[in-house]
Amino acid sequence: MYSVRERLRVLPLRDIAAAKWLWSFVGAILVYLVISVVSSDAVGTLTASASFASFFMLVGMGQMLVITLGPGNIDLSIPYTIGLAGFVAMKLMNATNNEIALGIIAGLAVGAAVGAFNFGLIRLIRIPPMIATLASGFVVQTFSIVFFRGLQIKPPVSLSNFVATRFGIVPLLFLLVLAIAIVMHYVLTRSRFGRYIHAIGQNTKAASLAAIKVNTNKLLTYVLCGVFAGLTGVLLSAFGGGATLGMGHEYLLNSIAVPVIGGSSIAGGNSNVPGILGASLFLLLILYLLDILGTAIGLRYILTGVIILGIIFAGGERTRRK
Amino acid sequence: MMNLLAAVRRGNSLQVLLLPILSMLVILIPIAVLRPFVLKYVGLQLLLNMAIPLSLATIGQMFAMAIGEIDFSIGNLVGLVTCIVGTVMSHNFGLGLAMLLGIVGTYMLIGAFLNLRKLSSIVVTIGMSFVWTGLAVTIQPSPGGNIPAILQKATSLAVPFVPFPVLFLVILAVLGHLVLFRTNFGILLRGIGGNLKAVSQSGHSIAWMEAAVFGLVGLLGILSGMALAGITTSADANVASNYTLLTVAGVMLGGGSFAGGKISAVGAVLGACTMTLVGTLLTFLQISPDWQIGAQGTILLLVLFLSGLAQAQKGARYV
Repeated sequence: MYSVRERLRVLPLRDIAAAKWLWSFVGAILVYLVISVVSSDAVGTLTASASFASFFMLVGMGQMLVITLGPGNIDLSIPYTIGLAGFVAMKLMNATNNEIALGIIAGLAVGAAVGAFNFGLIRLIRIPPMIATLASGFVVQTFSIVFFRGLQIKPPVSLSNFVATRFGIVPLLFLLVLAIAIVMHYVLTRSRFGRYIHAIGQNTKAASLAAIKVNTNKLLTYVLCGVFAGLTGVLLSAFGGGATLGMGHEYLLNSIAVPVIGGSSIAGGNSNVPGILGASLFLLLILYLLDILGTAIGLRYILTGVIILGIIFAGGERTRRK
Repeated sequence: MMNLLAAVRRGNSLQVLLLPILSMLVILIPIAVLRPFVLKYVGLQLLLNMAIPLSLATIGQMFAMAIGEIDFSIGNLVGLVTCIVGTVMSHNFGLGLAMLLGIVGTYMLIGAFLNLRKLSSIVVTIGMSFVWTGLAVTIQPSPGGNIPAILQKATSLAVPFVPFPVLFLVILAVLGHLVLFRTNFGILLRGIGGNLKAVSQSGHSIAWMEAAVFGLVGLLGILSGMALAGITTSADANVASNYTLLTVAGVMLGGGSFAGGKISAVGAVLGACTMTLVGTLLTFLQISPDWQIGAQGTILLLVLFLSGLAQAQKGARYV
């Protein structure tokens, strides 16, 4: 086992990712400069962006883990997992402060269950992850529709207060997610699990021959991605005053855009946590800039799509799905 | 009908179509038992009406999947097209037409870029879905509009003996099949899905091929949107939000594979019909339409599971 770790250590992870992720911060800073020109409350915008960027970071990290597993690996069920986890958590908390822990655990469990279900489908039915997670996402969405539609349960007051807490201009939520991101950074670059999933993403067969338990690690990755989505669902419901059906919709594109803009390859095999932070802030600041400029909802959709596509076109992945 | 069967036999063995036919019958037979009326002329017309736009979009998705790509934005495109024909075209026909042509052009550019910049079609088309919906919401913020009468007539033609949707679906399946298996374009298309390198090294421009294929996807999406607008008589940005799952499911139920190369137009049309019928069956069983999209997803997974069992010995392909 030791020799495997030694061998994996020489993979040039850093070299691949080093340059690209910096651009997301450059972009974020540029957009912020524009905001500080056009807006009277640029600092307030930054604070608000940081809150929402926390959600982008959580789903982005989950998606990044899955994408790291290699060509074709993607989780399209994230938006629906967010919705269901939010509903389940709010229902169990039932607007009282006593059951907050139970609600959070249940929300995370929903995410873990969807993740395990996703990998079960991929493994047992042998279908591409894209199809499996697309179909499972619709099944999950159906649960939300059937059991929770029209249900308006407010989050417990202390949880709402918790996620809205700020230290000066820095939201507590952002610090919390930043801490998770730092842990994830070390998990990905220093831990055995991190090296294993990079190895799987770079060459599954070689990883398997190197005695890496490919399926166990993939299962763990999909579960982790689900847990991140579940946590997002709980926090987003607490932040937004309750769960709604369409709550997770915007996270489909953004969960993929965040890691890609942050310098992770969509073809897998590399990952970059700092880039997740830069890309999340960048995308959120753009959204706030469009908001400040009074852009209509339709135009905002168009510009979001065009900007993300522009970056992806310009960045130009050199490797592609087979 | 004989023509169809002969065409099927030449190109693909009937074995490939066994699963799509079986899965459609599994849905159709309970419907026919519950409501024998549906097998009559008018019944079939009502039953399969919605299969017209869905099968057009599914054939589009099939072309994308034949070269190993996917169009995640097709449902948003179909919604946009209903808004263009229902709102823009009734005021300014030329502008509407220009927009539709622009869509085909954009699709061709996307196809070429996918190849030239080595991009992943899922990322790019999810991005495009925002653009399509943004345009649609700008044109028509809430459902409404004024669908031209000609579209409404075209989707409810009274044809002697055979209900129009049935006739249409058969023609579409045969046309799709002929394009795939009887044209140079079809051979190259399946070649790209099967062995991209071989096609490229035989001197064909993959970028042009991808541009052509995506242009075709856009065109079929537009036809789908026009048909849907004619049937629902409203312009609605979100009318086809489930089309991404339904078209992918239709292609896969029809025996197509996401790995590309392996593809069936007849199967894709059958798959689209099955997906349409699922909704009807749920209605007849008095199950809330809330369950519909989940049921459609579950059926896709079930059929894929069963077909996977049949070839379990071949080993894991994607994992």
